[in-house]
Amino acid sequence: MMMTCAEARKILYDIETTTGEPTLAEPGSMIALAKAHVMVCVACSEYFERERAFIASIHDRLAAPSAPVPQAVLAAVLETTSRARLQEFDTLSVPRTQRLLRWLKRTFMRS
Amino acid sequence: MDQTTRVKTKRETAAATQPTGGFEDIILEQMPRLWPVALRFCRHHELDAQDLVQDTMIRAYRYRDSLSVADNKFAWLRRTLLNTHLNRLRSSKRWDDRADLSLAEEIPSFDPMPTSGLVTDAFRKDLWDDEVLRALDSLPEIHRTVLLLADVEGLSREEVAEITGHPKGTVSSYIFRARKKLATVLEQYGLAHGYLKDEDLKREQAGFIEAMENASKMGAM
Repeated sequence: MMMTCAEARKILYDIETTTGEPTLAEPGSMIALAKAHVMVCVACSEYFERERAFIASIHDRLAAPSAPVPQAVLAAVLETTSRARLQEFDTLSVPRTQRLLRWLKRTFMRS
Repeated sequence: MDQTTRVKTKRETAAATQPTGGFEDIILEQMPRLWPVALRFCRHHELDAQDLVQDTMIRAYRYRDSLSVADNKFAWLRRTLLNTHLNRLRSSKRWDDRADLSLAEEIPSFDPMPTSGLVTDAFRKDLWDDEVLRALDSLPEIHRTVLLLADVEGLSREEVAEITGHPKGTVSSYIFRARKKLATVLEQYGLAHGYLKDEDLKREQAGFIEAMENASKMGAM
């Protein structure tokens, strides 16, 4: 069965335009048929080639792998983690305080 | 030193001696890679990006045990940052799921024209730097976000679907539409500023149509 350009592009759009491991197609599956179509169809192979080039250019232009972090941001982040630690310490301490209050109530309210 | 100060110092000292498993070391090591991600998702507004990173760190600290055993600490932190960002978007109403549904038309069964190679070539040129960012910012929030997640961060469709809470098929449609819109915005900009010529684009288009017609004659269509 020969596949049309429309079917092949719809089936393969995600697969052909996603970064990562290539999808293996089981022989006779729709993906395999679509890939077979693209191999012989100049228009479809050019279509996917151009789409992949555009996507690669999006990545190249926008994906800065690392950047210097402003000192103010680093200071704010470290302050945040220090505050988070303090809050956690307080939270951990609350049950102990509550236990003490309950003990005091039990001890002195009875008498 | 009064009583209050003494108590505060004790509290701080006690908190500071709690084991953190080198949490700050991990953060300091990963920040140079995390910061550009925060900037991208906050449209390069430094203060917003700083808020996002700080919220992320509070969350990361809470789950630091999980972070300390994560094989890829950057991926763990980035995932936390992206989830935090999406939660913030939802609560700020900038992420309107109902409105966004209208943007998720299905991928057309046949997309006749690929993105112009001329647009791609021009897109790579340095002088488009700010325009690239402006073009990206002109996209609806959902399109902009999925494009960044898929094409810039390199996440799989499944991962994008999980983060955004949309079905995988809907995510694919969003990505397709976002790329097409970005290409259109860039093409218009290129034409308006003389980086692209209308006749070159038409010539390229004619060449592609000819290739399609030849393929059709050979029975491939």
